[in-house]
Formats: sequence, structure tokens, C-alpha cells
Amino acid sequence: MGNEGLSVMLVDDETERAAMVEQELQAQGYTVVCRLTTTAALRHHVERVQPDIVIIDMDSPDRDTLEHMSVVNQQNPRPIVFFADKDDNPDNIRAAIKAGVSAYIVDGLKPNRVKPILDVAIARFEAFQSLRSELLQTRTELEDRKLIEKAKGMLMKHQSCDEEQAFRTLRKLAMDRSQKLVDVARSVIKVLEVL
Amino acid sequence: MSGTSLDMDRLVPEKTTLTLGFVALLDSAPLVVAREQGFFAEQGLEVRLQRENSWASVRDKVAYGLLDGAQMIAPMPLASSLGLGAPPVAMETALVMSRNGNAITLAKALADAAGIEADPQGPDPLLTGRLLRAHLTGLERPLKLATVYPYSCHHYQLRYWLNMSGISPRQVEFIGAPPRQMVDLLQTGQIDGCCVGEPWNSLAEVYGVGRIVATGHQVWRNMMEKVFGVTREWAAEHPQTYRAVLMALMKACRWLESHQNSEELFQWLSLPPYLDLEIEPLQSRGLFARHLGQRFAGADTNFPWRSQGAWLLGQMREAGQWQGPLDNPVLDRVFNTGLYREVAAALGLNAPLADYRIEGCDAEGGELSGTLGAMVPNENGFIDGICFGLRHF
Repeated sequence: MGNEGLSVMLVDDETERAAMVEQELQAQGYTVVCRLTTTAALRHHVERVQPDIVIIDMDSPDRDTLEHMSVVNQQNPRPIVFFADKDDNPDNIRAAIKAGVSAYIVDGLKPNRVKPILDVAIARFEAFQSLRSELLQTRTELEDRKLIEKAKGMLMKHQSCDEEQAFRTLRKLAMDRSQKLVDVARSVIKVLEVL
Repeated sequence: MSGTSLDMDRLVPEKTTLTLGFVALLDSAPLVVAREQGFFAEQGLEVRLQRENSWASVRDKVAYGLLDGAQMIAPMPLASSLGLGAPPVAMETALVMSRNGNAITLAKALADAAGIEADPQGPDPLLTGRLLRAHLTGLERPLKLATVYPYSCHHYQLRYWLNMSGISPRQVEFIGAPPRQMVDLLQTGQIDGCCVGEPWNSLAEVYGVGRIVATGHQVWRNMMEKVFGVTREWAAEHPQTYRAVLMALMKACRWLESHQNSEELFQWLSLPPYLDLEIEPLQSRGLFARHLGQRFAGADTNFPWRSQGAWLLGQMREAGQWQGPLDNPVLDRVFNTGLYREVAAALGLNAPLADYRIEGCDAEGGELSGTLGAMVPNENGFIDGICFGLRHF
């Protein structure tokens, strides 16, 4: 398949989602060299592993670290906006961003070699969105789930947003602070309850 | 742009429900105030503020329409229009939302070792720079300094101060890290220092892990820091909405000028998803440290000087990020001074008539011609006392 030799690094706080992407990529003959959650040591991992492609959650605070690395050193993976093909319309790019995928590739890698990898990531990220509430139910204690639901409801009311947006806000807070979702939910409830 | 002047009293926004992005920093305050104090609502807008965890995602989501507009670091619309760091997308700003507010903070242990003492009046950046340089001669490894984004005033101000202090970029390893991680990185000794926006410098001091050794305000007096940025495509498609947003933001900026340390503002910023409880330790000492000089309104604070854009372009060139002449026509497209004047006029505010000026020269008392008569601009100047101007004016 000619996929040998392309090494992929995945950075994602959603471990189940990252596992789904990895599995599919491996099935197609790619090597996932490293799978990480958000980490302050991302820089060291990239330097050590030297991946050809980094797939990273759009909302990860570590993206700016990668952007900095790509400016400082030409050898490091650089940001791409999904498909460099001219025939790809902006709606596809929007869909990818909406799914929450962003990607960095080393210089000189041909778009047609990268596109299938991104397609996998985007498809798995999208599939995960519908899987998420199910997973949340099976892996989270009932008490914690109640807190998360409550915080979500309060955010929806205060920020006049929908459920998905409220959940994303909670997740972003969790990622930014390297905290568990339920801990963020607790702090959100504490603040919004006094209003 | 200014030729298509609209009736600012009767704006009928093309789109009334908007999502605007911000990064959890004190200078996101204009957006928070515009929403919570009801300035957006006054303009008939329902605005959801979406927290973003990186400047990269602010850029991408604005570029591809997932955000209508956002708080941006001042060089971002320029870098994005030039295609630096990502494929080019034409962006613009008509409003500077804040000036100053960055600081250079060294790890406390390093500051102590270099003999840099805490000064409650604010640091002396020339002295601290000298002390650091002297200390470096005995150090075998390069200094590890972090900034938040390669195309940011933080990065350029840090380089400027180092240069001013006689510290060569070769003695420094520059790394990128998100603002929130700076305190941890300082504490665990993974970095020697950083240049970051507030509240992270003050928090590093409160937690006893860092010492502020220079402020952005000292390095470049009253330089633009955060701007409201949109794509030029969005601006063209939503002229009335755009103006309505700018009106609301300018009102919020003016409100902030007299309420920076108000209980109300503190309460709003403490809400999730804004800054949440992270700012709690700052409540007793005041949210905005005086010597950081954070400004939101007054005089030419909100005016997007093209000459400051040219200055930033120069910094990009200095950092090896971009090459070319500074009198670049992109400046006229990115810094929409005409639209600023239009919005200022609707609010009865004076605005500079010129788009470019000599930066750093306050010598002649600094009066400017404004749309409503003479005006006295904010003090401006660079730490090394240079004047900066393009030849064609």
C-alpha cells in the first residue's frame, strides 16, 4: 500500500477516540509511533520521536507549542489546513475543523500521502461524537455524571448555548487545566450557583 | 471601505446570533463586558463567547468561519494575511481592544541567583537585563525562555528586551507554551522565564515561583496588544453586523476604563468559561497590576495605527519569520482605520486623521490632528529611545 515509513503521532485527551484512530490507521498500514494525552512534555516527545505527521485535537492547548516548533526548526512538523488540493471546497475544511481535527506535517510530504490519514482521523472523530454520551455513561460513576450534567445545564443557561457547545466548553476547561471533567464540573457549579 | 458608510444609528445586522472567540486572559475583558453588561444586546446582537485553548485554533476557526470573529494577538491578522505559519487567509482589524499587559517573568530561583530583587514599584528593565546578562556569563547552558506564540508581541518584546540587554538570541532557547502552563513550567524548572499576558505573571508572583523583570509597557510603551479580528470576507458579507459588534466593543472598552478594578468586573471574569476561579488569588491585590499599564480606551488607544502594523512587520523580519520591505500594501488592508473612524464618529469620539505616524517620537508634545480637532495621543516610545517611521510620510 506504500504506507510504510510514514509515522504518525496522535495527541488526544480522549483516549478511546485516539485508540479508534490508531486502530484504523494500523489496519491501513500506517505506523502510529506515539499516542499522548495533553502534556507539557509534548516538545520532548516530538523531538525524540520525530513523527512525519502529528494529529492533534483542535482544542488542545498544546497546538501553540507545535506552531512554535515549526517556526523555530524547519525539520519539525508544520501546520496544514487539511487538504492542500485545490478541488477541495471550504465546506470540507469546515467539517474537519468542526470534527475537531488539526494536523501538522513535516516539510515536503505530498498532500496525497497525507489525505488518507486525515480522512481516517476525521471520520473517527466524527463517529466518536455520537459515541461519547454512551462512553460517558459506562465509564463514569453515576454521581460524577450527575455533576457533569448539572454543570452542562448551568452553562447552557448562562452562555445561551446548546448541549454540545456546553460540553465542549467543559472539555476545553478540563484540557487547559489538565483536570478531570468532573472536577471542572464541580468548579463550574460552585461559581454559577452563586449568581 | 469607509466609502460605503452606513447609517450607524439604524444598523440592521445581517446576522444577529454570533459566536466570538477569546483566550482566557485578562485582556479578554472587552468581550466579556460587552456581553455581560449588555452592550451587544443593545445592538440587537446575541453573542456567545467561545473559549479557545490556543491562538492556532482562534486563527483556524476564524479563517474557516466557525467563529464570526475573535480576540486576536495584534500580529495575527497580519501574519494570517501574509500566510505566515499557515496558508494565507485575508484578515483585518478595525479595533485595538487593549494595549500593554504583557510581562517578562523569570523563575524566582534564577532571579535570586542573578541578584534581581523584587520591586513593588515595578521592575527596572535596564537593570534587570544587565544583571541577567552578567549572570549568564557563568552559565553553561542556554537560557530556556517561553512565549505563547511565534507571531506575538510577547515573542517580539522578549527578543527586544534581550537584545537591549546585550543577550544574544544564540544564548537563548525559545520555546512555545500555552499561557496557563507558564506557572507550572516555572515551578518545575522546565523553563527559566517567559513572556506572557496577564494574569499569569501576577499569579507566578503570588505563587512565589516567578519575578517580573520587565513589562511589555516598559519595552514598547502603549503598543497595540489585542485586536478584534475578522476575515475580510466576513467583513464584506456582514457590514452592519460588523459595525454593531465594533460599537458594542468600543462601549465596553470605555466602560472598562473606569471599572478596571470593580467588583462587578471581577465577578464576571470569575465566571466559567471566562477566567473562572483562577483569578481568585488576585482579588486582594487588584486584578490589574498598575505597572503593567493595561489600557482599554481613551485617546488613540483603540485606533489601529498602520505604522504600528509596520513596526510589527519589522519585528517579524527581525525574528527571521518574514522578508520584504516594510511599506507593504498589506498594512492598508489589514488595519482598517477608515472603519474605526466611522464607528468613533457614531459614538462622538475623536479619532486620528493619519493612518501612519512616526512611532516612538513623543518629543513635540505629540498633538495629533483628529476628526474632531486636535487630540493628545497616548505616550508612545521604545525602551531604546528609537524613532520608527516609513519613508513615504
